[in-house]
Amino acid sequence: MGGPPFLRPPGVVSEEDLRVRCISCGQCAQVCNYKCVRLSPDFFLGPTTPKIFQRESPCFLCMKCSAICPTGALRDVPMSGAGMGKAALDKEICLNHRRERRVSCWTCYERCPLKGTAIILEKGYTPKVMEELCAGCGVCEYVCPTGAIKVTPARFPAKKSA
Amino acid sequence: MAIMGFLARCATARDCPQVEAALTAMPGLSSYGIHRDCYVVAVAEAPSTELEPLLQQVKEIPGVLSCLVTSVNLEDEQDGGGMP
Amino acid sequence: MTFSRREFLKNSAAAVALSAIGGPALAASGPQTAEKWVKGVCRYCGTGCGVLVGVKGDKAVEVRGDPNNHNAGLLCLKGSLLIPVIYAEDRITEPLIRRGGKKSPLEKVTWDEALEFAASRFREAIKSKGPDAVAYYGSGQALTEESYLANKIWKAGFRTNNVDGNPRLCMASAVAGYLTTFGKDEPMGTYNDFDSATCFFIIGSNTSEAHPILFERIAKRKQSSPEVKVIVADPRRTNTSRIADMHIFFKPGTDLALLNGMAHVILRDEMDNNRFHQRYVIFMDNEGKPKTFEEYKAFLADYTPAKVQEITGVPADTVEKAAKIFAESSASLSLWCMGINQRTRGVWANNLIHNLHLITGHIGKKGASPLSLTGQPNACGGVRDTGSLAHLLPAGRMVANEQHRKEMEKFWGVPEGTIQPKMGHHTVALFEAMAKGDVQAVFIHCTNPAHTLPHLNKHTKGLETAFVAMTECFMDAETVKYADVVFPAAFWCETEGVYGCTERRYALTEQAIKPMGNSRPVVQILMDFAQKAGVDPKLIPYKNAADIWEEWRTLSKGSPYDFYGITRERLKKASGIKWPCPTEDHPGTNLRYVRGEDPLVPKDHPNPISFYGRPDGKVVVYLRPHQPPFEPADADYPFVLTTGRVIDHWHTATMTGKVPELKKAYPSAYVEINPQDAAKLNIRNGDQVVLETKRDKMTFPARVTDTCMPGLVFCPFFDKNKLVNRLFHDATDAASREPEYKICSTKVYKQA
Repeated sequence: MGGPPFLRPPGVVSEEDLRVRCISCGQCAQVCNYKCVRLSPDFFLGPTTPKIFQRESPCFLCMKCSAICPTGALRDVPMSGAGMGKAALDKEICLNHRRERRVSCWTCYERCPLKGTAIILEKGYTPKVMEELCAGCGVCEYVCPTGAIKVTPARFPAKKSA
Repeated sequence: MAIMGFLARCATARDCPQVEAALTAMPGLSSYGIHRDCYVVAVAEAPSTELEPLLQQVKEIPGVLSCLVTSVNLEDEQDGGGMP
Repeated sequence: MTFSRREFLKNSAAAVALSAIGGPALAASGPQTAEKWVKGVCRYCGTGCGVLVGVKGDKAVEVRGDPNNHNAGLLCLKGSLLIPVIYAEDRITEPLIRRGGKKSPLEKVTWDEALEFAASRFREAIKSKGPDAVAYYGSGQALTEESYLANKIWKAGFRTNNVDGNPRLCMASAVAGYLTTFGKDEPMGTYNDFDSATCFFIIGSNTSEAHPILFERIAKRKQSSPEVKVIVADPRRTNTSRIADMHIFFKPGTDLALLNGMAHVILRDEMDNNRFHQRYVIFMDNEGKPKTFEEYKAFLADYTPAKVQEITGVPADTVEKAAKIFAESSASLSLWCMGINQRTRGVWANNLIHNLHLITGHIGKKGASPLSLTGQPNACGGVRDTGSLAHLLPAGRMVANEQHRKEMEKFWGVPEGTIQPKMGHHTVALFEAMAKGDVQAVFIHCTNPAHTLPHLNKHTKGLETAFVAMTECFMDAETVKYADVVFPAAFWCETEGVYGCTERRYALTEQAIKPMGNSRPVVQILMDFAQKAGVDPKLIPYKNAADIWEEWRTLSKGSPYDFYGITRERLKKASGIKWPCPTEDHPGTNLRYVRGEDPLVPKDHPNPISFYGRPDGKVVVYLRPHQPPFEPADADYPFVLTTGRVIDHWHTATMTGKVPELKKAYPSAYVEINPQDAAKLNIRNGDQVVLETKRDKMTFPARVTDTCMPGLVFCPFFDKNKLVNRLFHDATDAASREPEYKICSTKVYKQA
């Protein structure tokens, strides 16, 4: 509860380390190709840190923010190592898994920036998250037409796929 | 009789209608709808001593993750009045 | 405590609870439940999925798949989300005209005024320059009744053959391929063949994104048996390849060499079916001169796997392997779409695919067939079969054939000599004629040429010059900017009519709701317009679409497109019927040309197959040499640019763009670039990249992915803010006049 869900940008260190390292310089937000990194206070009068509100504007892993961060709050890592969180698919809601709904949808697979690796299609038509490979960018959560797939941010304990 | 407003948090969207049905079947409980984030908005009327056991019963309904009490009104009992 | 005070307190308690979770959005009680279900066909692709439209009161509330149609109730996301499109805010619901020329604004007028405004300009044009000063540009998304009617009005009423449509841009090469090889258009198999095939050869088709329901059927077939093999040939490793046993990357425009190479291996290793091609096949070269089988074999000596590797970049043993799998599987099914058709050698490419089936005998049996996938929902039924193109007449007849013209004149009750003997303007020529002023007035129906014509910078001149009367449902269609008159059309299930899809299935969409606002069914618009423009009312005496269907059905009787048995009543009960279907008790045909399956083949015919489209039943294997595309990459323009579709948008997104879920997934255009090329050009995901061709230049955000092979870049064309067709040339296939949208050369560099 309380505020829309958000992710930290790619390459982020732990929350504690972030509080130490992030100097709120705003370069990550400035350089973002997709204008999705936003700086906002963590709490009332609290430190301003970078956030990605994936339901409004997800991260497409251009990795420019992690390359430019001057203090190492965001480490320069490859796309697959972004470590923003893990996606989990709710089979109760996913159109493709609810075969009785008779709608064929594999939008999360189509738009995953780690094309064909973090989300695969079992049998060629059923989406499945490959957790170890998921970078947690939030694009799947953004595009899913029914809200079946959601990213648990890295700062929370992981949730298993339903 | 106290009046208590609370939220019953359901595990999945699919559980909400069943939880709502089970809730309203209990005496003194009424539902004010299902919120899209999987909460049943409910109000219970019961003597204040019965509130805790009642909440315990609600928590035991299959599909309920937790109950969050938001307000309790004890005016009635303080006035010394009973059920109308 | 009083009762009302108690209720107040309870309500307050509920309100407090609600405010804790950011109310007041109480969930709706689920989707509105429909009171009745109306049968129809999806508005989108050529797969032609059956749908049921749920109606509550006077509103359409839900779309579901029709369990009785070939898709067994399954729909892709686009089809299941058609409701928001019907109720889009920018639906055009009143007739609009530009009174003062192209720069003046559109104003709302009455129907009479709009019709008269358009009709008067047509009358003037005909009076000053003759019937060829007017034209009709139609669509493979128009209903069959609409296309048939327009064809009749223009060819027999106005007496011009300037009738063409967007199938010219998409299926014309497939049509000419079937015609030159088999003598008649349209495939011989159906979707049932997917369930028996043991080898799928998919070339120039991204089935996963363009025909998702068919793709799922292929994927399921592959699951059912380990012997089922899938070969995908495409310069892009699309999503279709995720189920492939083998992906063949070939240099864009070298498909002819690859196909000839496979044929070479098949004959070299004696994997051909001698008995089959000796009985049913003759060989011809490019000039139409007959050749022998030995001469064909000698011709293929230029296409050894090693030589093919030089031309195409495909490793020699890949060619060998593909040929072996294709020939030796028990039933091989080929599927292709725009990658093969939209080429300056599209007709040849079609012929070469047919060649593979004809030398191996993979035809005329379950699971074995060359099946051309149709892009639009009604290119087959509406335009190809009714002959609504500049060189055709209904049911396989040709404008240039005197006997055919006489037959149509007799049937339509017009004097001999009414129909002109010369072919009209094909699409590219039509827009050139409009720019020159030879065609002064055009009626555009159900298509968006200002977005979809090739070489847009050149051809929009035609739209700026000629008088444009068009039907349209959505205000944001690019072509509306050039319209002098816009007639609001009833959209999809607001009217009734037939669609004919890829597998020769004619299915009826029944009317579910009333036309929105002041919009009207297009058959009515066409008749009212034609009468005002001077066409003899006796030619168009129809009360409704069903009357037109009656006439077209009767016309087909006795022809190779015979569907006389598909009456309106049968269409209302069934979920589509596959033609040929000559009588009302005939269930429809699965395997065309096959004795015992196809009712047009006599039961006592001596051979199991009768290719009755050709004289003495012999079909043609053509000796077609490899030729490069019109504009291959060169030193100055070192990349090849290709365009195509994405799964969540239909064509120019005037419909799918109205659905938030689909728009969210693909909000705007981008350019796909291979990581190797991206590294050399210092381009990262999301960077702005410039594509510069000889025509124009445009900037796109980059998507760095290994989908395209190095040297190739891809842009989707759905985005009206990025009209990719400005970058393309308009070179066409010499036989089909279909433009080569798949290959042009371009510079690629990062924006400074």
